[in-house]
Amino acid sequence: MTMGVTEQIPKVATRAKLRKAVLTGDNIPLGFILLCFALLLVVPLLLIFVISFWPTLEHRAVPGFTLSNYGKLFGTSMYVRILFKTLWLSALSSIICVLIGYPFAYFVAKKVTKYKFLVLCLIIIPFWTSFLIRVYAGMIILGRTGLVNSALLNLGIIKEPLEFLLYTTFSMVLGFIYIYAPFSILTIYSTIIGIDDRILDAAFDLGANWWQRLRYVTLPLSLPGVVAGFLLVFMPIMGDYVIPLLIGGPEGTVLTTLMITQFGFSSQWGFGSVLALLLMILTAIVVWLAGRYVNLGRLFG
Amino acid sequence: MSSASFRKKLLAVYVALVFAFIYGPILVVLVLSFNEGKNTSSPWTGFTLNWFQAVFRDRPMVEAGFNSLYVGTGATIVALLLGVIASFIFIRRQFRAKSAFSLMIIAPFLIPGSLYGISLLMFFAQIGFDRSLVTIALSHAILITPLVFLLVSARLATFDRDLEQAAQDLGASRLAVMRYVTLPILTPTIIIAALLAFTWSFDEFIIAFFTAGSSNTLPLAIWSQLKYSLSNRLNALASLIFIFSFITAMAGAFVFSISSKKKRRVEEEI
Repeated sequence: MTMGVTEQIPKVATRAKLRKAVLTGDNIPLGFILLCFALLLVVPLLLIFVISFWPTLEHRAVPGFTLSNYGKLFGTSMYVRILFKTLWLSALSSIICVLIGYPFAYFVAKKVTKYKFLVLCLIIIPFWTSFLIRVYAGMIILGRTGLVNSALLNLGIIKEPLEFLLYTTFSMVLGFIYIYAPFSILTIYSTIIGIDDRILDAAFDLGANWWQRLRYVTLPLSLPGVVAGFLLVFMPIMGDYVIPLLIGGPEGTVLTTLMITQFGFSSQWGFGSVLALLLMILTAIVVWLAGRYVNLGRLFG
Repeated sequence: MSSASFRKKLLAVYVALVFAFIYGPILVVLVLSFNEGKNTSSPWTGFTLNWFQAVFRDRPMVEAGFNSLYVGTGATIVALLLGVIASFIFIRRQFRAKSAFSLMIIAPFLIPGSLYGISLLMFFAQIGFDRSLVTIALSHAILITPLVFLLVSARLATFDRDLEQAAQDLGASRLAVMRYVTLPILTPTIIIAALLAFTWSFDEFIIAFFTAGSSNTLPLAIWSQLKYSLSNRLNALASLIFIFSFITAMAGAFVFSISSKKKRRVEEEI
């Protein structure tokens, strides 16, 4: 009997709380936020999962259940190859972003004093300027008659315009680095700035040279930033569509372009959803890994 | 010269080179947009403002520019509303699943735009909602809410609640506390958030690409030109957009540095 009473109490309490919440309107704001995000974020994303099982009839995805969309992905060697190519190119570009970003971040964090705010602004500004415009600017520079080629021609270094500068895998990787390097600089900067100067001084006082200090002190202490700097550019590079399509040329087919093609004239929403799901899973893994190394919220703030 | 200062100089040169890599192409476009030459890559022949005139004479382009202004304004207003409310809930209330709540709010930041874009495309198609500027603005609002949320909740977390308590003790109503204490303290953060949110929406391409109906936003209009025809007019347009985004971003940075200076001064006085 006593059992019955104790079980009753929390139930009554929740009900009272619920009534109070409904009457006072305390939960209206929360409900509003949940409604908006459920409608415009959660449901659309769940829809990808649902439609990935729908068969396509006459260029329309129709409700039903089939696994053929999944079979198409894993049964076609070309698609598997594109998947690995995407991962490999994203990893390569991200590694170069980190390699370029590390010395830069170190210098700004530890050596620049007077103009730090200005330099930081200059790193952040590219995030706030049109992505398309920046890619366009890159195209102008690298084109067949672009600045690089005409300069090299005029200097007599080359006789024919370099063809690999634009619409190749090379230009695609270069484009990724050009657009995303500021991101890894900022990520790495935020960990290096947190390293206590006294630790670095101590290393010098104990007789370490600059290389030993970098290898045994600075680098290990900033490793979380390096890993995060890699993962947080890997993610948007893998999801990028503009660069592969505009400057990737004929070799520019990656996971995203393949995915988006399915929503164009061919209208293969089911197969497109499978590819989207794959991208979502890969992103989730990267977010999860990155979350183990850095506080994501703090980084963006 | 000691090797330490030599290394420092070497690093400084390196930083300059990276900046040249990041900004060089844009500077070239800025210069070329004043070039008389017939096509995008012709050498310098003389100064002209014709390309800028051509941009403003291009009716669809100007219309797309206005559309982007409407979308950006609408999206920013909704995102401010959502982001500020979400921040108050996150910082001021205790409930289970709080980390799930913040993950949901930040999610649009983490999900690739192409992925979110196609999910919205299918969603609007399935519920039979016609795509237009409204669907772009709504989608953008969700996309930029995380930005408002992160900025405002960071400010709220360091907010001295004694100030509100004091106002209440002096007899202010809940509404008056909000109006005369809380909001004025949050204002600089909200201005920065609004500027950045607007700039983001104004430049956003991929989600607009999937949620647009028949009316174009500016990035969509640029996209079709990039794919089908490169013209000198595009240089001028690129310059205008770059300068516009640059000014907005700098305004944000300016408000930020003023408000943080003011805050520091107040703290020193105390």
